[in-house]
Amino acid sequence: MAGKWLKISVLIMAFVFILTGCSDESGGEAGANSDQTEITLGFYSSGSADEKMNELIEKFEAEHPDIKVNTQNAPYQQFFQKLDTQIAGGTAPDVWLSDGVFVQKYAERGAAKDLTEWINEDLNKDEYYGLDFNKDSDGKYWGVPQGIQIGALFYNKDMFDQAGVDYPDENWTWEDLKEAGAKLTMDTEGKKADDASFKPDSVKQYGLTFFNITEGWMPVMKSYGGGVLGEDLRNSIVDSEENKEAVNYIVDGMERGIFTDPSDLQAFQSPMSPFPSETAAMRIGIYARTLAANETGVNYDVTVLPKGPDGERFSPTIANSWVISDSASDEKAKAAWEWVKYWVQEDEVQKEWAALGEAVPVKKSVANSDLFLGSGDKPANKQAFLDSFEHAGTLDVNAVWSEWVKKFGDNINRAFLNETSVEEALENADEEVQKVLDEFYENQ
Amino acid sequence: MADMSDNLKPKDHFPEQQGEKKQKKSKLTLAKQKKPKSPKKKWLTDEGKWGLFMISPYLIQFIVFIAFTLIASLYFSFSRYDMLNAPQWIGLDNYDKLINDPVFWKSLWNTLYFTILFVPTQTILALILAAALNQSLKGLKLYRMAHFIPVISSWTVVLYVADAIFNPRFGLANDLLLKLGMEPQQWLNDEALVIPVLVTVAVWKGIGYMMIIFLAGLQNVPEDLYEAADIEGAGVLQKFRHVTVPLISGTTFLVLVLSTITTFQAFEQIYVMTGNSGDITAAGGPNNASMVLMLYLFQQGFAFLKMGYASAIAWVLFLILFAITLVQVKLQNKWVHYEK
Amino acid sequence: MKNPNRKRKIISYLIITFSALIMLTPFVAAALNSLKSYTQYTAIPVEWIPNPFKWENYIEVWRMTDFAQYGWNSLVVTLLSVLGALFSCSMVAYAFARLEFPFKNSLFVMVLGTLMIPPVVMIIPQFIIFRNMGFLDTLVPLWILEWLAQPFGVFLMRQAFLSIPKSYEEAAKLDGCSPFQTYWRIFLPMCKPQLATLTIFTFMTKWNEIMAPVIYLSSEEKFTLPIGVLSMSGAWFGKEQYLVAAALMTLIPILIVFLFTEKFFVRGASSSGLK
Repeated sequence: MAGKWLKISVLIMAFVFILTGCSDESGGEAGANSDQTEITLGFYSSGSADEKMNELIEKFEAEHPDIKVNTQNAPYQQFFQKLDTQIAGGTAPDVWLSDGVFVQKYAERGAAKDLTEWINEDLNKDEYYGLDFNKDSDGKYWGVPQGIQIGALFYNKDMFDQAGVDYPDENWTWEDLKEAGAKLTMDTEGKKADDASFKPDSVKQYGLTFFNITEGWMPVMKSYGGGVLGEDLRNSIVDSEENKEAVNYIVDGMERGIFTDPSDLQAFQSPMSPFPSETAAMRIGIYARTLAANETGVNYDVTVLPKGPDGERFSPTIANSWVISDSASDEKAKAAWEWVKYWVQEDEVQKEWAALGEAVPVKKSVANSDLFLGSGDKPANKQAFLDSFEHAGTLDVNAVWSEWVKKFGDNINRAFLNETSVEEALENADEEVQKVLDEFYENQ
Repeated sequence: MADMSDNLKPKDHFPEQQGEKKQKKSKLTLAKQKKPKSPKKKWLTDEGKWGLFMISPYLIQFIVFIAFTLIASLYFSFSRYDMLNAPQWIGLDNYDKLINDPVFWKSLWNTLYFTILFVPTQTILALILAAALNQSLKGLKLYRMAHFIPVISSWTVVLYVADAIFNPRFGLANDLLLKLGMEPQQWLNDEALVIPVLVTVAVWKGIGYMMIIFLAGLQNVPEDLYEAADIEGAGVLQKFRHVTVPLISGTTFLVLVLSTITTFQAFEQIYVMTGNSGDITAAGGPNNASMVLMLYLFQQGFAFLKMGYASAIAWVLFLILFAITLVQVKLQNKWVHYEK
Repeated sequence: MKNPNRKRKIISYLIITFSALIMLTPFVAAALNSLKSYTQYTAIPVEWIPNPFKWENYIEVWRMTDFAQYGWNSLVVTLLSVLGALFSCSMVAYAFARLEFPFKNSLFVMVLGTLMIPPVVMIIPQFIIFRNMGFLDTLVPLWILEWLAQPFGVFLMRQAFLSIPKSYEEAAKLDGCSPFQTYWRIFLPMCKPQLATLTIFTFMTKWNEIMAPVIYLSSEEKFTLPIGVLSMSGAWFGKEQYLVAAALMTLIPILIVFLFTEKFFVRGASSSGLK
C-alpha cells in the first residue's frame, strides 16, 4: 500500500521538476491564425453583466474576423491588484476596463496609451457623454468611456408619502433636504428627528444615507463652492471657508441622526444597503444604484442633486473607461482601438449594454432614446440623470486619487464622529493631502 | 518491500547504499571525491547525503523561488517602485520615511498588541480544551467537529458569522446587551474595542486547530504516568499541571512559535472584517486602530502603488519577527522537555 | 470506575459543551440569516427566526454560480497541494529532526526564515518566475509550491519526529533500513495525528485561497470557488443574504473532507491506549 503511494508521489515530483526545468515555450499563439491579431481584454466582473460582455465580444469577433479577443476577468476588488501585478510582470492585457477613478493612475505613470490622436480622428466628441472626464490638464485623452455613472438624489416615495413630505425637486437646496430629512427620520420608538425625545443613537429610519466620497461629502462640498484639489489637481484646497460650511452642514445632520454617520454604516453588510433595505428615505446615488433598489422593489424615483447656498449644483461623475496598454504593440493597440470604437459607436452594443441597467449609455443618441428613458423600469425620471450632465464634474481624479481620498476620508470621518472639530479635521486633511500630492509630483 | 527500496534509490547520486555496508561505502565515496580530508571528520557522510537528498524539495524551493524573491524585495526596499515602471534606486529614503511615519509605528504597536493578546489566550484555552477532549468521552467526534467548523471556514465565512454576533445594529451581542439592560457597543467600529473583538474572533476561529495540535501531542503522553499520579492522590488540576504540561512542552513550543509568526503576519482577517465590502483602503479602521503591519504594507503596495515602501516595511517586519523567534528558540532550552 | 477519573470526565464535559456552544452559535445565527428575505435580514429590531424559511436562496446561489466547475478546480488544486505538503514536508522534516548533514542548523534557520517573509512582497517576484516558466493561467502555480516543503508543515512535522524515542531508529538501522526507509516505514506511520493536522491545514488554506488564484488565473473556466463566489457578489446588491448562503455553501466540501480525514488519521482517544 504505502509503496504504491510512494511511487506515485515520486513520479509526480519527478514530473513536476521536469516541467519546471524546461518550459520556456509561450504556448497559446501557436494555434492562432497567422493573419489574425490576438488581443487580451481585461474587465472586472459585475455578476450577470459578464455574460453580456462575452456575448458582445463574440459579436465583435464575428464582425472583425481578423481579430481574436482573449478575455480575462476578476472580481472588482482583486482586478486591479491583478492588473498591477501583470503590468509589473510585463504581461498586461492590451486593453482593459478601468474604473473611472483609476484612469489617471495608469495614465500619469505611463502605463496607458495616449488616445488623443485616435479620438480626434475617429470619434465625433459631441456624440458622446463623458469623453472629457478622461482628459488631463494638458488636454490629452487616456481612455474612452464604457459607461457613465452620474450622481442624482434617490428618494423613497412611500416614506415621503407616509411622512406627508413633498417629493424633492430641482429647486431643493441642501438645507431643504435636511429639513425634509428631519421629518423622514425615525427612531425605534417612532419619534421624529425634531421631537425633543428623539434618540439619535437608535435610528430606525434615516433621512439620508451618506457614504464616502462620490455619494457623500464630495457633491456637498463642491456645491458649497469648496472641493479638495485645485484646478491643476496638484494642490490641496481643503482648508477653506466653503468646505467648513459644507462639513458643518453634514456634521449637524449626522449629530441629529438624520444622516448616517460612518459608524452607522458599519452595521450594514455593504454601505450601499440602507436605501435598498428601506432604512433610509434618501440617498445620493450614482446610476448603478438603481439595480439594487429595483432588486428589492423599493418604490422610488430620482431627481437632480440639491443646490448649494449660492445656487451651485454638482453632480459627481465617474466614466468607467476602456484603456489601452502603453506596452501593446502597434498592431494590437490598433485592434484594441477597433474594439473601443465598436463599443461606443455601434447602436446595438450601446443598447444591449444599456438594457442591463448598469450605466448611462455613452452614446448620447441611445441615452436620449426611449430605450433608456422609457424602459419602464424604475426610476421613472431617468431624465434626471441626463439633466445632471449640465452640472457634471469629476472627483478630482489624479494619479494618487485613492491615497489622498483615504487621507481626507480618515480625517473627515473623525469630524463626522465628533472626535475632532471640523476646523482641526480640515486643517489636518489639508496637510496630509498636500503631502501625498507632493510626494508623488515632486518625483515625477 | 524490496522492490520498493530499489525503486527509491536515487541511483545516480548515491551509487551504493545498503545500510549494512555503511562503513565501506563512505570510504568509497571519499576516494571518489579525491578531496584530502582529515580522517576523523568526513565532510559528507552517508547520512549527510541522505539528509541533503531528503531536504532537496526545500532547497529547490529556496533556489528557484525564495532567493530571487529576497533579493528582489530587498532591492525594491531601496527603490522607488510603483510596479508599473522599473524600480529606481533611492538608497535609504524608504527606511528614513518609515522611521518618521506615525501610521507605521501605530501599526507596529497594533501588531504587537494583537499578538500579545492573541497568542497566550489561544494557547492556554486550546491546551485546556485538548486536555478535556483527550479521553474516551461519548460524542467525542461531535465535540471535536464543533470546534473544527470555525477552523475550516474561510475568513469570508467568518465575516458573515461574526457579523451575526458583532453587528452593532443586527447582532446577537448587542441584542443580548440590550435585553440585559446594558449599553450596546460599536464593537468593530470602536477604537478601543476593535482589536479585542478581532482577537476574540481569531481565537474562536483558530482554537480548534491549536487544540488538534495539542491533542496530537497529548496522545504521546503515556497513560501510566496518569495512573501513577492517581495512586499518589493527585487531583485533576495537579495532574494537568505536573504531568500533562511538562510532557507536551515540545508541542507548546511549536504552537507558540507558529502562532506568533502567523499572528504577526495576520492580514486577511483584518482586511475582510474591517474593510467595507473588501475595499482595501477602508480596512484598518476606525482611525487606524486596527491597522497592522501586514495590512499597512499591502495597502501601501497594492492600493497606493508604493511597492518600494511596502518592501521596506516588509523587511522591518521580517527582522522583528526573526528576532522574536530567535529569542523563543533560545528560551526553548530552559523549559522544553524532550524525550531522550 | 475510579472516582478521580469520573470527576475529570464531568469537568471535561462541562468545558467542552460550553465551548462547543460558543463555537456553533454564530454559525446557527449566520445560517438563519442566510435563510431570510432581504427585508427580514435588515429588519430592526432583529428577527432571528426566518419567516418564511427561504430555502430558495441556496437554490438561487447554486444556479447563478458555476459551483460545480469552480468546485472541481478548487478540488484539483487542493488535493494536489495536500499530497505535496504531506510528502515534502514530512520528508524534509525527518531529515531536520533525525539526520546529521552539513549546514543543518543554518538550513533550518533558513526554513524558519522563509516562514517569516511577508507573502505580499513575494507576489511580484513569484509572478515573474511563473511567467518565465510559462505557467500563467494554469493551475500549477497554485499547488506546486506545496511540493517544495512549505516551512509551516516542516516545522510541524519536525516537532512530531523529535518526540519519537531514538530506540526506533536504532532498531531500523539494525534491520538494514536506509534513512529514507526508516522515515517512510517507521517514523511516518507514527505521526498520523500530525499528518492529519497538516492535511487539514493545507486543505483549508488552499480551499479558501483568494490572492494567488486571482493573480494567476485568467480564464473563467479555471477559476476556483472563492473567486467564483466573489465574482458573483457584485450582482448581489440588495440580496446580501445570498452572500451568506454562498459562503456557507463553500464550507460543505471541506466539512466532508474533515470527516473523512478524521476517520483515517486522528486516532480516537479510545484507541490510543487510554481507557
